[in-house]
Amino acid sequence: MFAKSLTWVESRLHLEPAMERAMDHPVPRYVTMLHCFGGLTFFTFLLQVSTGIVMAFFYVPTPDHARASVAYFQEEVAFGSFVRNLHRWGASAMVVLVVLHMLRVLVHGAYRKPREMNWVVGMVLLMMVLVFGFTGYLLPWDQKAYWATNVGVNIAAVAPFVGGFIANFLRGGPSLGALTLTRFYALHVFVLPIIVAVALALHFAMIRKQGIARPL
Amino acid sequence: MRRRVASQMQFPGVETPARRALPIPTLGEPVTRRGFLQRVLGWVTAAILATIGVPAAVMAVSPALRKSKSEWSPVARLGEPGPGEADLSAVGEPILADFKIVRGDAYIAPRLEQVPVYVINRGEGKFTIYDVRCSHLGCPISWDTKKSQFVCPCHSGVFDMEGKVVSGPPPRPLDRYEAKVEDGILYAGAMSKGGGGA
Repeated sequence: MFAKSLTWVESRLHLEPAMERAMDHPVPRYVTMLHCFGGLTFFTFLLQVSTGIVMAFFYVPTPDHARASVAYFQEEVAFGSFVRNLHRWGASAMVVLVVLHMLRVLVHGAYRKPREMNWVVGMVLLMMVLVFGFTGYLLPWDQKAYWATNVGVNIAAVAPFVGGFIANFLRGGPSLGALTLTRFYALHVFVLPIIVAVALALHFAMIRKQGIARPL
Repeated sequence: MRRRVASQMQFPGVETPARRALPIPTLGEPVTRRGFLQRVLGWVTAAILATIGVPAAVMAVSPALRKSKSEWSPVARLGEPGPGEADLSAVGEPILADFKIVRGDAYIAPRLEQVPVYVINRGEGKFTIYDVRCSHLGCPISWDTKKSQFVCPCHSGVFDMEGKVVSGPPPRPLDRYEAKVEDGILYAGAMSKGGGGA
């Protein structure tokens, strides 16, 4: 269907070798279904990014309008409920999949030399997924969101010496309110995606360089 | 490998034409396992992208298709206007009036909004209701009694009594509201763009 256009682009950019390197990469025989969890986690990440961007067309991170704006696109906008639920279930799926991925790497001993650095980057990614979940949970600004965040921040406050400061940092002050919502929003849609994108690039570059570990 | 040819029965005295090997009909390139899997993977990927992409795109675009709802709002009681209502008894003279509508804006709670309009009593129970916003860039017009024209202060747009552009930059006539009289009360309805455009 697009053969002519493809030829046109190809004759100018010569992408074929790069595509072949990416798509026809040989994979060792010992790769099994257990090795799919990392890729599936990446898929859920892409799902979260795309559904999240669309919801950002409607969501307003203020105490006055957050709840109403979520209710509005959930109930009044075409596919609003579908997209929000994809994001909501995708978030849970992402946590499950990233933990399964981590367990598989652990059980296979794939974290050992020479892949220690990739394990550390993976741990950062795992933490970021959890922070994604924590910050996203507040955004609907309903009772569950408010009190779950209250609990989460109070858990952080228990940390010795710096706990009080961490809690205040998360809340944007001594009490949970408008600033908490905006900073959780900023973390959720700007800071975390950038951190995760950079860490993912490192994660993928290292696995490409080092290859998939032989299981024990 | 030598191709095995089915033996052909021979009859004495009968000339049998020699069999010719027919080319095997093919549909372009033969399908390899790799090619088949590539194609399946491609279509599955496309299906997943469509499942996510189509709802996402529709959701993002759908507010563009929203239509404004309109109901009939009372402007004034004719003959004996109530407090705050305009006296519309003068025929053939634009009178500044207003009506209230409940305007809901997406997730923002509906609230009463005052809509200023120019009402012209055409006599015999006929009324014309103009939106006060100039069709150029939306500044409020006012009726110049001396010139018998609507004048916009921003860019000198001028309209006549029929809402038509006399001079200045406005691209189309004044917007107007549907008007109806019921039980001695003038109601304003849906707004239509001047000149019939959408």
